[in-house]
Amino acid sequence: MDELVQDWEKRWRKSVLPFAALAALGESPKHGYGLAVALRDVLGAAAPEGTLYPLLNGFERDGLTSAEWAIQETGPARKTYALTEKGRDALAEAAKRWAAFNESLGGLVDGPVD
Amino acid sequence: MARWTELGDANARAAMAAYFAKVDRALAPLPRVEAEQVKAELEAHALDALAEASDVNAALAQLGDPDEFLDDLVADRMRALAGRTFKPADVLAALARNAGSGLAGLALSTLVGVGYAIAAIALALGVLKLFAPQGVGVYRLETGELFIGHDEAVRGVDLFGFWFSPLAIAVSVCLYLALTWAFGRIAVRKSALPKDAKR
Repeated sequence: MDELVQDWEKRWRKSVLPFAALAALGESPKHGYGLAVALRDVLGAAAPEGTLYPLLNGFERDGLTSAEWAIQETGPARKTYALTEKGRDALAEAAKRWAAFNESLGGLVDGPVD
Repeated sequence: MARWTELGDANARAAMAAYFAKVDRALAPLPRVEAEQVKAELEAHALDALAEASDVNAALAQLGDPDEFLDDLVADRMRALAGRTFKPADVLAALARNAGSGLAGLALSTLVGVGYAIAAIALALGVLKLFAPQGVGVYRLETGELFIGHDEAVRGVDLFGFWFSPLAIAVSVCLYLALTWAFGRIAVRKSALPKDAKR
């Protein structure tokens, strides 16, 4: 049973990843590692941190984020991602829907479990 | 730490070298500048993770297998490249890559490939009409049905005559441009299920 629930948890953690990543970028612009750190509690062991890069690539392609390269005095250059206006709109819409979803789910979960 | 090549521990350097050789292979289909940029992001990530984990294998395991997580990114960028350059070689490479990149990619490549096949047939017919006008074009047959294509024995009224050639070539070019533009901008959204959860 525990394994089954762990599998569910893994699935839902991974499925909220785009929303969580957008929310984390909404707090402040971040580079890939910074985003991974911010999402560690959400992502858990559901997916490796490299999964964030195709996601960030998709955000950029869809115009949800803009990116800037920062040249470091030491170390490789870093690409920092920030939400665009379109990204903020998408985040606001997702947050609204998430709140409604969370309320409906909360109603179900709180009821029968004792 | 400036680069992983400057790591003091030889084992850590070797692990990083093996990992980034894999990254290089995964990114090989991309233009060099794009591949270098993605690699630079991953290098920065790996070094940050290493500073925190202090064990190179744990840091790289946390980042994941590049063959798996870069697959979608490479397929996506190859489509975008085809949509920017409109070069047939880029289009073919992107089609092949996407066809091998999961069910959604295969479906997309098949659909777009059928469109390109129609464009190629239209082009071939348009060019053929220039050299062998008889039997190529759009004909209304004696039975009232329409015939489009090439058949030297066809009997009926040639609806467009010589104009079939420029029309077919124009349709072919417009279809190619529209398909390539759309192919470069489409987003293949895959299932959010973890790979191991699907097994």
